[in-house]
Amino acid sequence: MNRRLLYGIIFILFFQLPVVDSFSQLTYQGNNYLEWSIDRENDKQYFEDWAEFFLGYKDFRAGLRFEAHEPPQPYSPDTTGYGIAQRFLEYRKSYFTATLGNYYTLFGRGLVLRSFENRMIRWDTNIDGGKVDFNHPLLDAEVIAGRPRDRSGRRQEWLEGGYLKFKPISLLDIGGTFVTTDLKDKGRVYWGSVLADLNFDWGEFYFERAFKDFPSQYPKGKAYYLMGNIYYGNATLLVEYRDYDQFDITEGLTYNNPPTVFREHLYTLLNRHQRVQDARDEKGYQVEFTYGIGDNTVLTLNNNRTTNHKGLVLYREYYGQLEFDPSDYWSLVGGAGQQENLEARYLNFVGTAKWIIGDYHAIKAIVEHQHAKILLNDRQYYDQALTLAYDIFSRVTLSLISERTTDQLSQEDYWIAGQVDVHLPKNFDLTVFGGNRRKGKICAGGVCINRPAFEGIEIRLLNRF
Amino acid sequence: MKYFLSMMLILCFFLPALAGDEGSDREKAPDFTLPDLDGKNYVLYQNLEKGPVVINFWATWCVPCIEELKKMKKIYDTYSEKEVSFLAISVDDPKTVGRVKSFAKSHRYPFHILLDTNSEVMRMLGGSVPPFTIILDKEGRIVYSHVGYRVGDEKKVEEELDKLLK
Repeated sequence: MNRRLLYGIIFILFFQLPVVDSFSQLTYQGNNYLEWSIDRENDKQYFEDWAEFFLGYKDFRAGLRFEAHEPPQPYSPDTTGYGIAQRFLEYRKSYFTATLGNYYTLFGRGLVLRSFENRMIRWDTNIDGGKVDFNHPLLDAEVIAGRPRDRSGRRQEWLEGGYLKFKPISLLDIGGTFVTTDLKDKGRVYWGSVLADLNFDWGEFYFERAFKDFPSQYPKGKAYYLMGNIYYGNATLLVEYRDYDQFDITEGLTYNNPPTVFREHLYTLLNRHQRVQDARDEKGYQVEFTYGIGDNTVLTLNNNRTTNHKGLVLYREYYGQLEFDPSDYWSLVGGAGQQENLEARYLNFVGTAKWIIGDYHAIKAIVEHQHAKILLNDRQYYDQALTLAYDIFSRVTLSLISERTTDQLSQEDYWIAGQVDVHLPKNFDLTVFGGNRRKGKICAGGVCINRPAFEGIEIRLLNRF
Repeated sequence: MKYFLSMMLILCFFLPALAGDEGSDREKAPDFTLPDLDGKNYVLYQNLEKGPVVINFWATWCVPCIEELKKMKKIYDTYSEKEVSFLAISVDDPKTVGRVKSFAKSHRYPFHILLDTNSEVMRMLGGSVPPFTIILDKEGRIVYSHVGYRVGDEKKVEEELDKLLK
C-alpha cells in the first residue's frame, strides 16, 4: 500500500477523531505491540509491530490492523514487509452479528475448523471474507465464507462452511459442522462433524465425530473426541479420549486444531518436551484427577498416553502437582512427573515459591530440574532452570532467568539473562530482556516452534488506548 | 527499519496521551455474547444495569491468572453483596477447555465463568494475553484495566470499585 495513504489513514483515525464530537455514540480503542530484538551473536536486528485500531458507532464496529515485520523473527513465517494486514466491518443487532473482512472462528472443539492467532508462536490463520453469527438461547448458528491465510501470509482458496448447534433442553446441546474448499488441481474437499454436549450438576460429557472426504486419490479421514468430566464435592475427574486417523487437514495451511488430550505445561523444561500433535495418526487418552483439600490446597494427578494406529506408544506422561497456600503471604507449588517419547525419557521436578511482602511487594522463585535419558544409547544428562523475580510496588518486576545443562553435546552449558517488566500509567507495559537464552521448542495448544538460541537485547512494548 | 522503529515509538508514547482517560464515553466496551459453563449464553449489555462488572480473563494453564483469581475470590466476598458482578472469562482454547469446569470446581471459584475459546472477546476488549482485568461501570464504560498480575493489583481493583460505589 502507498505509504502516504497509510499514514494518512492513521493520522485521520487518531488525530481527528476527538474533534468529531457530533457523533456522540462514537467509541474507539486501540493497542500497539512492538518487539525489537538485537541479536548480538548473529549481528542481526528483528523488528515487528502490530497496531490495532477499533471504531464503534451504534450497532457498527470497524477495525484495522497494521503490521510491520522488518524483518520477522527467524521462527516466523516469511512475512517481511509492512502494511494493513487486517480490516473488518461488523454489524450487531439482537441475536445477529455479521462480519465483513478479516475474522477468526472456531467450530465446536476445533476438530474441523479453527482459525486463530497465537503471536508467541507467530501463528495467524485469519480468514478474509464474511461471516454471519446467530446466538439465540435455543440455537447457535454460524455461516462463513472466505480465504484463510497460510503460514507464509498468502491467501488460500475460498473456504465455505457452517456450524449449527441446537439447545432443545438445558441439559443437551446437539449440532454439526461442515466445511468445504475447492483445492487447485485436486478437486473439492469436504469435512465436517456431528457433536453433542450433555451438562449435569454432577458432570459434563462431550462427543464429536468428524469425517474428511478428499478426492479419491487422497486418503479419507476420520476422527472422534470424547470428554467426560465428573464432579463430587471438591473432587473432579476428567477423562478424554481421541482417535485421529488422517485428520490433519493441511493443504498449505492447517485448517483444524483438534484437542491435544495431553497436559500443557508452562514450566520451561516440561514445555520443551511435551508432545507435538500429529492428527494424521494418533490416538490416546488423558485422565486427570483434581482434589481441593480444605481451602488452601489443591492436588492434581495426570496420566496421558498417545499411540499410533499400529499400537506404538508415541508419548506417555505421569504428572502430579500440589498447590499449597499456608498463609495469605505464602504460596507454594510442587510438581513431579515423567515424560517419555520415542527418543528419550525425562524425569522432572518443579517448584514455585512466592512470598508476598506487605500489600505491594513479592519475591518469587521457580526451580526446575530435569533428568534426561536418551533411549537409543543410554546417554544421560541434567537440565536445570532457575528464575527469581521481585515485584516492586506492583509497577516493576525484576527477574533473573538462568538455565544450565550437563549435556556434553551442548555447545554451551549455562545461559543467564535479566528481565525488567515495567507497568506505567496510561496502560503502557514495557519489557526489556538482556542476556542469552537456550534454543528449544516452545509449544502452545499442541502447535510448537523451534526457537533458536539468542544472545542480546529484546524490547517489548504494549500499550492500549 | 529505523524509520519504522521511530514511527512506532512515537505512536506508543504519544497516542495514550491523546486518548481520553479511562471512563470517558469513548471507552465504552463493545457488547458480546459468550456461553457459560452450562452452555447458556451471557450477553454483556443485558446485564450491565445491575451494577459495575469486573471482568477477568484467565486460563487454566496460566500461573499468574491463578494467583490473581485467589485474590479476586476475596474481592468477590466483599463486593458481590454490593451489586458488583464478577465474570471470570476463560480463554482456554479447545485443547484445554475441557478442564475449565473441573478446575473451577476444585479451586472453588464463586464467579460466573464464561468461555472465550478463541480469545475473540479478549481481543475485542483490548487484551492480548491473560491475565487481563477490566472494570466496567453501569454504562459499560471501561474505567480500569491491567494486563498481567503483580501483587497489589487487587488493591487497585478495590479502589476503583469503591469509587464506583460511592
